[in-house]
This record gives sequence, structure tokens and C-alpha cells, in this order.
Amino acid sequence: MATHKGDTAQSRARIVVHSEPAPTHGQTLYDREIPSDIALITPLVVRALEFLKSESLIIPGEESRVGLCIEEALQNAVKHGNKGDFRKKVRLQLFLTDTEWGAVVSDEGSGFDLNSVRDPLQSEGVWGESGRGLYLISHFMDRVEYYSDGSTLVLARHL
Amino acid sequence: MEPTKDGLLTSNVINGIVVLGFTRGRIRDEREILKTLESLGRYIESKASLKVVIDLSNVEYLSSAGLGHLVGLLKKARSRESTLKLCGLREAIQELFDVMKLTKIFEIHTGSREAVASFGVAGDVDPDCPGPCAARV
Repeated sequence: MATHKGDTAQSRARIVVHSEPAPTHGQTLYDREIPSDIALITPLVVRALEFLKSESLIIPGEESRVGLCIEEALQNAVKHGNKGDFRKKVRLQLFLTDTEWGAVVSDEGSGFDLNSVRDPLQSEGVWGESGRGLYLISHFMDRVEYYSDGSTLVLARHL
Repeated sequence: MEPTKDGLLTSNVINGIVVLGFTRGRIRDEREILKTLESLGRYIESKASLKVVIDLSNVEYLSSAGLGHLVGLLKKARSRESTLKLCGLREAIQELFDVMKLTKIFEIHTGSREAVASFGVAGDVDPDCPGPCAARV
């Protein structure tokens, strides 16, 4: 199990990487799959947000933050997990337990090394034009865990 | 000269300062916003010594890619000895800038009036300095 290095900000979720597959999380409320095409991501995020609002799991003021996290997770899955291979699928599931709701984003890649993800707040990092997605996810979500060595991401918010 | 509008982008020139804005910026507009920012990159690379304000007051949603594009614009501006400032950040966008410490590298103002005033000039539209819409970036 790996954890993100250099993370001292107490307001951020600790990112954990497990080698084993993700366990089942509560009740699956929403389950969609898309080919690895970045053009399909925003429409899926919009639909997922509409679903979360209809289930009263997010309030209007949270849309931007939650939408950002789900979008970043899907972007990473498409671009880095599946290397943009249209034939490979990305799956988005939304779940609910007694204590949290969350999203599971899984790709068909082989995972990644968390240590290879740079800290976007290091001096050169602020000037970087990419690499902020995971940092933002860990800032806005309460739980961020990767499974299957990184090909499945679970983001969750406490109820 | 009237402000011009080209798709998502509006532009106005106030005494040599190019003020750019977005007509809308919800989550479903995100890909169009990214393409617009890419176009702005080409415009900023094409000219030196520009004074540019990007008004984000209609932008409700920005992804990390959008933040990256804005950083790219700032870098391009600096490489061409141009000045790029931002204004009108909504709470959700300001939060992103705060979290990612982008407030360290961007000059951010409340509104376009303050942003323009920060260049130390004031006045009417300059017909000899067309904005990016007129230049068809």
C-alpha cells in the first residue's frame, strides 16, 4: 500500500493505493461506461451531477467541486489509464453507504506509481500547465483510494 | 468601437488594454472554454507588449485543464513582454486559485474596471488596437 508523499496539508484526504481490487461499496445507484474519448467526459459528468442532485446527495453549491473531482478522475482514466485508446472503457459508478456517498472510476490500464505524481505546489509546479487534478480531488473529497494498483479510483464524501 | 463577440468570447479594447470575457461558463461549456483559451494562446503569442485582462465573471466552472491553460497564457504573455491580468473570479473559481496557490503568480482584480485601472491608464476604446475577435484568432 502506498500513500502520497509530502502531504502535510491537514485539510486534504490522504491518497492511498491498494494493490488488491476495490471492495464493493454499499449500494450502487448509478453505473455508466464510456469509451476512452475525452469528448464524452463532460456529458457524463453533467448527467452524474444531475443524478446526485436528484438523490439529494449534493447541494447546488457543491456542484463545481464534485463535478471537478469526477471530471478529473475520468480524464485521468481516459488519458493516463487507457492512454486514450477508444477501444478501452472507463466506468463510473456512484454508490451510497450509511456514512458516505462516492464515485468509483475504473479504467482498463495497469495502474500507476503514485510516487511519479509531482506535487503541483512545489515552486516549479505552480507554473506547470498540468498535474493538478489529483491534488484537487484530494482537497475536495474526504476519501481518495486507488485499487488494483491504480486502475480503480474511489472518491467519497461523508454524509 | 463597440465590444465584439465571437462565440463564447467577448472582447473590448479600452485605451490599448484588451479586455476579454466569456458569455457563459457552466460545466457543459468546459470544452468550448478550453478551445477558446487555446485560441487566446495563439493570439498572445502573435503579438508583443500586449496589455490583457481576462474577465472570468461568467465562468462558473473550470477544470484543472482550464487552470493549466490560464497558466500557459500567462507564460506566453511574459515571453512576449505582455501583461495578463484576471478579474471577476467567482467564489468557486477563486477557491481553485487559492488551493493551487495560483494567486502567487496571477494578478487578480475584483472587476474589469479595477483591472484596467491597475494598468495606470483610463479612457475610451482605442480603434487602432483591435482585440482578438477582430483579429480572428
